[in-house]
Amino acid sequence: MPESLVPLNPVTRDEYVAAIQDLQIRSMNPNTPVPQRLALINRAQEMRTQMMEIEAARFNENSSEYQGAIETLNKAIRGLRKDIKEIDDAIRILDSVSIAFAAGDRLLTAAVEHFPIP
Amino acid sequence: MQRLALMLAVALGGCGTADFDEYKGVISRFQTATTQTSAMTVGYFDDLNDFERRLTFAGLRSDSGMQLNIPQQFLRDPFDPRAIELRKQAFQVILIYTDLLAQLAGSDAPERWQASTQNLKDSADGLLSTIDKFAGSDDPKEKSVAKEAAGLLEPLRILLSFAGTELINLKRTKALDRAVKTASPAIEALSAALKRDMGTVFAQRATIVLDPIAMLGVAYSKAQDAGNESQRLRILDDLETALADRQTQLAELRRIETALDTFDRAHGALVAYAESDKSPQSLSELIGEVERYAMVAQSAYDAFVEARKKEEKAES
Repeated sequence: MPESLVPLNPVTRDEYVAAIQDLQIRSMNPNTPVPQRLALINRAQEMRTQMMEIEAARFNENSSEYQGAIETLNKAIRGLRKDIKEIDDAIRILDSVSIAFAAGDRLLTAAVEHFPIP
Repeated sequence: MQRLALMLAVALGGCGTADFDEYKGVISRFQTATTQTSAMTVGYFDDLNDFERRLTFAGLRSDSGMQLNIPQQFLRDPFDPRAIELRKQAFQVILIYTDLLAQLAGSDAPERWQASTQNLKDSADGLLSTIDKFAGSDDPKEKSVAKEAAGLLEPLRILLSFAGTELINLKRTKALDRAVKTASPAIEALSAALKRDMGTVFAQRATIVLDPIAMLGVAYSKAQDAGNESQRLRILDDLETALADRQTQLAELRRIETALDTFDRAHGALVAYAESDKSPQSLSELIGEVERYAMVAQSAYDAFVEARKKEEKAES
C-alpha cells in the first residue's frame, strides 16, 4: 500500500491493520539501518496492542445485540418443535381412530346380538 | 364433511411430492454446511485470549529486555469470557434451528402418515362392510343399526381418499416457511454480528503473521553483515517456514470468511423460497445457492481438519 494511503492516526480496525502491516513491511527494507528497522517493528507491536485493546472493548460492549436475536431465533425453534409435535400427534390421532373404528365394528355386531333396538 | 373433502382437493392441487423431496435435500445440505462453518469459527472465538497469551510468551522468550507483568499479561482476559460464550451460544442456537428444519423436512412422517391412513381406511372399510351387511339383512335390528351409521361414514371414506402424503407435505412446507420467515431477521442480525467479530479474529492474526518475518529479515541482514554463512542459511530456512505459515493461516481465515458470506446468500435464498410461489424456477435458484454454500463450506472444512491434524502431529 502506498505510504500516502496509510493513515497516520488510525481509527477504524481496517486503518489499524493497514498501518501495522505498513510498518512491518517498511521494516523489511534492507537499505534501512537495522536500529530503525527494529524501531519500526516495535512501533507496529505497540500499535497492535492499542488496536487489540480497542477491539476487545468493542467486542465486550456489543454482546447485547446478540441477546435479542438469539431470543427471536429461540421463538422460531419453539414454533418448529410445536409443528413437529402436531404432525406426530396427527398421525397418532389417525391410529387412535383406526382402533376406534375396529372397536366400533365389534361393538355393532355385539349390540345387534345382545341388546334390543328401541 | 363432503364440502371439507372438496376443499382439501383444491388446496392440495399445487403441492408436488417430487419438489418437496428436492426441498428436503436442500435443507439437509444447508444444515451440514452450517455445522461445518460453525465448527471452524467457534474455535477461533475460543482462542481469542489464549492467542494473546501465547504471543506474550513468545515476546518474552525472544526479547530479554521485555518486562514480565504477570497480572497484566496473564491474569486478565481482554476478551470477556461471557462475551465469547455469547458468540458460541449464537452458533449453537443457529445449529439447533437448522437441525430442526432438517428434522421437519426429512422426517418419516409421510411414510407413517401413509401407513396410518391405510390402517384407518382398512378399519373404516371393515366397519362399512358390517353396516352394508346389516343394511341388506332381513333382521329389523340390523337394518336399524345400518341406517343410523351409514350417514356418518360415507363422507369419511371420501376424505380418506385425499389423505395421502401430499397432505402431510403441505403441512410440513407451511411449517418450514413459517419457521424460516420468523427466524430470518434474527439469522441476518447474528450473521452480520458474527462476521464483524470474525473481522476481529482476522485483525488479531493478520497483524502478527508479518512480525516474525520482519524480525527474520533484520536477523538475516545482521548475519549477512557479520559474514556468518551458516547463520544466514538457518535464517533463510526459518523464513521459508514463516512465509508458508503465513500463507496457510491467511488462507484458512479467508476460507471461513467466504463460508460466512455464502451462508448469507444461501439463507437469503431459503427466505426467498419460503416467500415464493414454490415454482420450479424459484426452487432451482434456491438449490443453486445452497449447493454453492455447501461446496465452499465443505472445502473450507476439509482444509481446516487437515490443518488441525498437522498441528496435532507437530505438537506430539
